[in-house]
Amino acid sequence: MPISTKILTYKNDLFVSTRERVGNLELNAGALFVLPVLLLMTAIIIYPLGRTIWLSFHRVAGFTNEWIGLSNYMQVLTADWFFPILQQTAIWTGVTVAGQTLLGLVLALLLNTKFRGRAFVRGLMLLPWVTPGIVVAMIWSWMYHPRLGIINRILLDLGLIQDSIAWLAEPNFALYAVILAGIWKGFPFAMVMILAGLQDINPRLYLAAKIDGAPWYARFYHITLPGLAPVLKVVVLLSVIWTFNFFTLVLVLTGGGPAGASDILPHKVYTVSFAQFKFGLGAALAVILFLIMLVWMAVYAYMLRKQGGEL
Amino acid sequence: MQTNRWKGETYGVPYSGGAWGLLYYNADHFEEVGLDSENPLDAVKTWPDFMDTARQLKDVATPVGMLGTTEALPAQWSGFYFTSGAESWLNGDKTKSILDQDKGVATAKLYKDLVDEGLTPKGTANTNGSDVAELMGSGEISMYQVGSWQAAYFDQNYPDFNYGITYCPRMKGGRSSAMAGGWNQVINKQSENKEGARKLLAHLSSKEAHTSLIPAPAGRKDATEEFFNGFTDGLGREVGDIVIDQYENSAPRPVHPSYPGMSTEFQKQMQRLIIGEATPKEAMTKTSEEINSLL
Amino acid sequence: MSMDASTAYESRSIKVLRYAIIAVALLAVMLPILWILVSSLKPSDEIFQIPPQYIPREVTLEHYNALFADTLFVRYIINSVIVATLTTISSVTLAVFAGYGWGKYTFTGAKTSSLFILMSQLFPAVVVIIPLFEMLKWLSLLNSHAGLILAYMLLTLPVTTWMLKGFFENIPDNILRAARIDGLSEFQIFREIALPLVLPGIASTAIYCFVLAWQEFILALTFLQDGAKYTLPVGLMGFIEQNQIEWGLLLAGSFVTVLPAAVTFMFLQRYFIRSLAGSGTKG
Repeated sequence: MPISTKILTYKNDLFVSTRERVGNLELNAGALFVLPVLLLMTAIIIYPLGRTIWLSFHRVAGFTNEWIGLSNYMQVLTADWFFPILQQTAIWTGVTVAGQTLLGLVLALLLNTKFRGRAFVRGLMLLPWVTPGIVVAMIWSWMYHPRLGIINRILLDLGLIQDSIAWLAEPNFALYAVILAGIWKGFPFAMVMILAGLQDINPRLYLAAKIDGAPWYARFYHITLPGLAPVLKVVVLLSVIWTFNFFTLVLVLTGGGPAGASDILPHKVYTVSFAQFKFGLGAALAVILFLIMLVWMAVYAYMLRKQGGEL
Repeated sequence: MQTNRWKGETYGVPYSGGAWGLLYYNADHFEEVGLDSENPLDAVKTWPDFMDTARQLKDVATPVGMLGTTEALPAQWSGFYFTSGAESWLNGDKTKSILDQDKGVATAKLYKDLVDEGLTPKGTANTNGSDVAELMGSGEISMYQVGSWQAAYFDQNYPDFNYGITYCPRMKGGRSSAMAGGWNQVINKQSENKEGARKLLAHLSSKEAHTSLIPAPAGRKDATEEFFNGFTDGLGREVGDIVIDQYENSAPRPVHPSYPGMSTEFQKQMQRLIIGEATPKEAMTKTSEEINSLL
Repeated sequence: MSMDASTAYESRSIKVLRYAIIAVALLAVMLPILWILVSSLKPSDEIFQIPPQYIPREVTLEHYNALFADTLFVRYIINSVIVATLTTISSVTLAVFAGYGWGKYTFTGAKTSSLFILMSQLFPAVVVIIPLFEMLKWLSLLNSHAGLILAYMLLTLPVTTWMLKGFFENIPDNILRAARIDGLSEFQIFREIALPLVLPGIASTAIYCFVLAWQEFILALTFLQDGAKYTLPVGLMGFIEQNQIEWGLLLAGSFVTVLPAAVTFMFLQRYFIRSLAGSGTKG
């Protein structure tokens, strides 16, 4: 629809107040309402963003910056650690978000009935979410300890393993150990959103389905899931963004190890910048990270639009 | 002071120093396997002796606590490395890393052998100083090579722990040495109150300040000697002279602005070594490559 | 309560099963927190016993005493409360205006600018630390709560604005149009009509913003230098040094960090969930 027609239609459909024409711009009170935030965010974001991009084209040594063009980017793209880290980041993000959403869904369904102490239980379930990241990391790092950790103790007592496992020091387990901690920390968000979403589903639909004789899994698949679709879309979108950038757990639990087996992109940005002091390289890596996120947003928005939804 | 100089300019003044290279051992465990806990030197003087003792201790507890991560790893590793007689990670003109030569590879091999023979605790690749200290204090580990400050921690938190201190095991044909590290004081170029800072620095560099204010071994040599006069280990033996002896012979990790990058690569390669992904030679070669590219 | 209709017909055994699963789930989820609680009550040497004991042989409050008496912990709590509260107030206030503007008006660049705000969330915090540090230094706001709050606004505004935008979008336009016809000014419409309708939304946005600010760690660590100004997460880190961790204090401190949030949420979760329901955070 050409823009001019769009505005005319909006004039009838949407709440739009007095306009002033300044040249070709349409301004109204709305613009004034958003101005403070827009200005503030632009001011606070433009400098860091610009500086990071600028840095990515330089080599920083001490106080001197030396222009090296795309050299940093080339270095990143050809580094032998780049592809494994991408892979691990994808696993970290994907599995953690899936786990959080699934766990959140199951618990939301369980807690959606009236029972005594429901408020109590729901409140407790929110705790992992409000615990600061480093606290979560410290607790889990201790739980995973090969000798002093409670996880090994429990698994041994249950007879599930014969000998204690150094979860964070085994290259095959380390990443998944971190993922488990990540799922624990983040699931309450999904749970709360889904609980809210469940309340919006029309109960009559369930009644009708029951009368028609539909079993519980059919009711779930045909009523609950579609009803939750909008909520799930939001949950997944936000969770992916946060999880992708969240590296506190990796930092404290494994430091990216052993030998980089659990390293993820944001953590690498941190170590390159603050442990190796290669700020130019770190900036380039950050820009790449940002671009990946943009691609994700674009793909996600596209998929949503195809299904008729919207951001 | 050597660690404060770069390209002929002095950047800082030592505040507290430390040598990472004392071997702490559990006297009770030594007694249990028939070793002399008062005179342990023969049992751990050289690396082969050290390994033998470790094998003997295997029945009693996990013999040795080795580090696998954080900056403490290069520190501990260097403690062993410098006993070989090497003076630095780098060659004379600081243009190349010499870690991939015999001495570096042999030190790496020491770690690998200890891990492979099951003489270290599980999960060494992710072990840091705090873990080992706690395990040591509670009797899970028999020997741990670390610095002199650890004694105070044991005294305070594990008062019943009978630990002894002795020289770091040295490479066959090597010498008594350690890794020298510590904290230095610098005045930020952009600081606003340079005069006041300078005065504070001068005061803090005096001998009195070093003996009374600083908890760890002091940066000034004369204060250090005084500090360790009467330094005893858990068995009540006076071991101050061991500390000072090692301190005098100690050498620092590379003094270079890009050291952090070197350390990161070093830790990574050592972890690969520990989990069996690389041989000592490979690990040291890769580390040297990275170090050379940073020089 | 959509599913409640069906539970009336649930057989007894399913009910019992449901409760059993809830109990197990609760235990599993609470395990880490219960474990810190139990561990924090053990005396120092018992904490490091191998194998770890489920039930302490001796219960002691020594760590909690030490926590409150010997450290600046109380100070840290106060600081965290101050910072989180002020961040929430300023962020939500600004977001309320902005959310209304983007939610209820069309103007040039409305869509673009709102996307811009949302996208600023994508940038990793790690990277903006140094430029932010420079900016704060330039404004002489380093090592101050004010500076930290400013930085936190960067962190929270995208989300709070977006959430409130959703809530505002859910207000039927007719109401607002009717008010316009009645001759109210834009601002009056905003204040008298729109605002009251999104109060639950404001509440949940505020809670969310508070939680975000409460647990933020990296920016606080970088921008605050005075021990007395530290927020909780930074203060807790202080118990960890390169070669030594004060486990007793760390455990007690961690539990204390978690406790007030637990209590608060038990009372507030009802409102939080209810306000998210039937409002604009979906799609």
